[in-house]
Amino acid sequence: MSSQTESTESANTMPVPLHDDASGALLAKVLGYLDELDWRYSVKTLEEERHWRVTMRVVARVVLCRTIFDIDDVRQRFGVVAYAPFLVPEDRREAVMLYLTRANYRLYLAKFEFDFSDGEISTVCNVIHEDAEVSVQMIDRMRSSVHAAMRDFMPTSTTP
Amino acid sequence: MNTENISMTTPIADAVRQYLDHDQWHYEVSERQGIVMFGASVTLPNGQFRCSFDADDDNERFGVYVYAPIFIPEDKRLAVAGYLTRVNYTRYLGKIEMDLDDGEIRSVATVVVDGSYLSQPMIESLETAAHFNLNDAYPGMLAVAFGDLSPEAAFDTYRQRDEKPSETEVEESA
Repeated sequence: MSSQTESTESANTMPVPLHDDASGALLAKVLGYLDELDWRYSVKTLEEERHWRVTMRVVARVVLCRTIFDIDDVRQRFGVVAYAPFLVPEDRREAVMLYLTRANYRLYLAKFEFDFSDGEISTVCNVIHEDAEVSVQMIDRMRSSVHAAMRDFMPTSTTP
Repeated sequence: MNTENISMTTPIADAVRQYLDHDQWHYEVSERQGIVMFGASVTLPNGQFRCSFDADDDNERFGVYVYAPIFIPEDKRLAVAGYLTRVNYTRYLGKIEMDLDDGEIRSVATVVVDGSYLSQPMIESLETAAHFNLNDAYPGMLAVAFGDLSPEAAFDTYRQRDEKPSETEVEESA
């Protein structure tokens, strides 16, 4: 387990219906990665064909963030997103937006997203992996990038 | 003009060169701190932009950077940041960044390929995202920065355009 992050999801692994062919291989890889870290998660199969979401809660220093691994086999998309555990009050959104603009300029892989309508903050890292395999190392670096952004920028993100 | 004296015997740089040559891009190659940079200029429906395909084999990562030919005036940076924050929330790949210190605007799409490899479709998806994220957001950005349109109004227009993607062909130029 990373020294800076800790999984707190109480739900345990759910049975996942995998297909017999190559579909579901990335989902299995993500679950294997999380199992290796001994992290708790839950899995949801979406209505769309071969599309899954793996959800967990992670503490990145002081921020408890819901984290989702989004696996879309059909469109060959894979993404990791972490959500801050609070909504920014309306009167502070402009200041936070400026701070996150500065933060985004310094991030290589992940990006901060900010929903002005409700003050939700998330860090996101996506890839379209057509004709290439998403490796465990890629999963780890994408996961690390969103949690590092949350860990490094969030505790002070109420002041620009 | 392509520069031949830069060492490019690395997988990511080779993949990028193959991609650019296949699509007949005109580019210049430079190298800095182990990163091989393929610089070009691209003409899109809403403007002509300088771009760079950065192959970082040491760190097994690749990025496409597209730069706007303008700098946002200091008194408009807050408004433009509000517009770009809204735009970025709608984009799956990549982001548009602003340097609040000087008003520079760039569109970025990056990937790590540690333990895997950079496929040609991956390069295409990153290149397309970086270019069209900026192209599509550019009119609204100009309207906020130089036309006194509010970030909210500019984003409303952007969103309406985003629902009707342009079919205009991309034209690269030297």
